[in-house]
Amino acid sequence: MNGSCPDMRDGIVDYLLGALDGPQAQAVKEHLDRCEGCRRYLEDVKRQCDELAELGAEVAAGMAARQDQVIQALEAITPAQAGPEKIVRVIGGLARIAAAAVLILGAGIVIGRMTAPKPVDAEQLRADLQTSIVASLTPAIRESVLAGLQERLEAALASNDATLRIEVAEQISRDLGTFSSQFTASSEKLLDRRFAELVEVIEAARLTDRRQVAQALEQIKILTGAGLRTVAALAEEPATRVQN
Amino acid sequence: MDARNDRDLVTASCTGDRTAYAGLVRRHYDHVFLVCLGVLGNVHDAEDLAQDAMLKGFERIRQLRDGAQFAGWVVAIARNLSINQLRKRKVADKTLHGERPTEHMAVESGREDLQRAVARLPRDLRLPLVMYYFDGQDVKTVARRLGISPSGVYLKLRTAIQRLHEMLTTQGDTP
Repeated sequence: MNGSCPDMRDGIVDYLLGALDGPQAQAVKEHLDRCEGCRRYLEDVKRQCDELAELGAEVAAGMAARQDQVIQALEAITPAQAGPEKIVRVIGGLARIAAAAVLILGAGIVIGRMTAPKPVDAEQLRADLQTSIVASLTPAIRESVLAGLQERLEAALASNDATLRIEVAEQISRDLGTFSSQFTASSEKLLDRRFAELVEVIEAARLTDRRQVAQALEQIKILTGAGLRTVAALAEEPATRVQN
Repeated sequence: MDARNDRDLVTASCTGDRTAYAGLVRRHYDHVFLVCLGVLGNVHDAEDLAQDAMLKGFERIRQLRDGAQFAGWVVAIARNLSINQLRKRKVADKTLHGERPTEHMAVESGREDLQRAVARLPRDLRLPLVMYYFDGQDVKTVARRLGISPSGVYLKLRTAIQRLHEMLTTQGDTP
């Protein structure tokens, strides 16, 4: 890019924008004095910024005409009535009471939903458990297996008998296979057991929470039930008067 | 230019006084237009949306509780309209042509390449650039209007300028 120094480009643009303090600006200026590539970059960017400003001036030149168009178009527009206040006046106090009752009930439901625990994500739980069990088992098992292998290996190396060496190598290979299958089986069993225990604990907690939420909702219903009956009676009253 | 302040002009506009609202148009249209241009990157669309925003402002003027807040209120209307328009355009572009760069600004002069490059900038870089270079606002004003810090504005301006430079240089290198 014009042979400019990549690590100086940010500084050069900041210098052009006037974003640098005295020492920083001085450092860029000193670099520019001795680097022709960066001077060309500065000139390029400066030319581009000047063109931007000229483009802005061209766009701005049409502003008065655009404003005239808007002002002409105003003739077809009339300010609308401010909606909310008018509506509130029309529906009056009765609607306000009903709205309050609905809000209280709504709040009860929302609180209930927000406090209810989420269902158990079995797949996620199983994956987390597997990770933690493998992580906790691996170091101990690996250490034990390696210790056994080390002993056999040392015995084989100490021996001059070629047949014995081959036997030891085969034994190590068999051991590794056995270890692999045993490790998988044991970790699966442990995983299943821990998983079942955890699910039980979580389900028990959910049931307790549900009972508490149900009690809270019942309480809200008792508190607001009388209010709603009053609202219903008030709502029916005008119709009764008309009939009379 | 009407000498009354915004609050008085808004109060008069609420009674349907179009002359008072015309005073608000003269005072605030430029900023509204440049915000639309900054979001949309297209002069013709910006003209349409800026007009819509100013007319909606008059239509809803009675919803504005504090007349002194008119400038921010009408700019918010303009920005929301522009963003909606941009979303619609992106959906239409994807449907018709697949993913492609933003539509370029109207070709009105010999600066087509620069206009196209500005229009292809991401919206969060284009808006401060337009406010700074097209509207001549200083960094502090841009920062206040965008709700970010002055150093944030400098960073966006620098990034925008470097992107423009890359786009124009690459374009120039292409045979």
